[in-house]
Amino acid sequence: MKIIYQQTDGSVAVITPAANCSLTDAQTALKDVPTGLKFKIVDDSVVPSDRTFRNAWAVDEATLTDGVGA
Amino acid sequence: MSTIKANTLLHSDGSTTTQPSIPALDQRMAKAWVTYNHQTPAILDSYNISSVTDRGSAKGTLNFTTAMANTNYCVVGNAHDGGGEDDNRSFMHSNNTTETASAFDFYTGSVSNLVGGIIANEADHLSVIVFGS
Repeated sequence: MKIIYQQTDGSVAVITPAANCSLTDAQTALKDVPTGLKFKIVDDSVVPSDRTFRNAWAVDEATLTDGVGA
Repeated sequence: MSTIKANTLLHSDGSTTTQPSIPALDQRMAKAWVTYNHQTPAILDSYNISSVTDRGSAKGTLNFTTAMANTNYCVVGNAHDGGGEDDNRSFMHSNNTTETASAFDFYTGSVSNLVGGIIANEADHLSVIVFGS
């Protein structure tokens, strides 16, 4: 799973949780997403594999409905 | 002087994951480490890393499961992309960004003869180790 959020400059960040971490993905999101930013936990397949234009990735903030960084 | 000979040293709770405390050695042991592929992106293996954030091309953040005691910790890393002689990458701390007790922002790049300096360039293998309190 991946955790995505919109950074303050409008670009997209993608968090990869460590498989050997004792935290759940939701706990990791609350801890590692910057305070006040909305996030969504998604399947790996949602994240594009072509990174040619990585810095141009965008996300609709309205779809980030799984929580807010603590 | 005494010598302890043992095959296994465990925490008193019997767990194989809870670390027994050895205060005299505490500062000499890594507090976190990770191997990471920024291009997939994937954490290959790690210790005390809750996650790695891909913040954009060649930019990321190491997030510690258990925070450091302060921001005076030491981070050492190296990186490469591919297996060729010219596929080396530099691992650097990002300027003006996060270096808190719980997270460290990094940046990878490669030397460009065209621009005469280091340009942002992703790595498919980063190895990072962190020492500190």
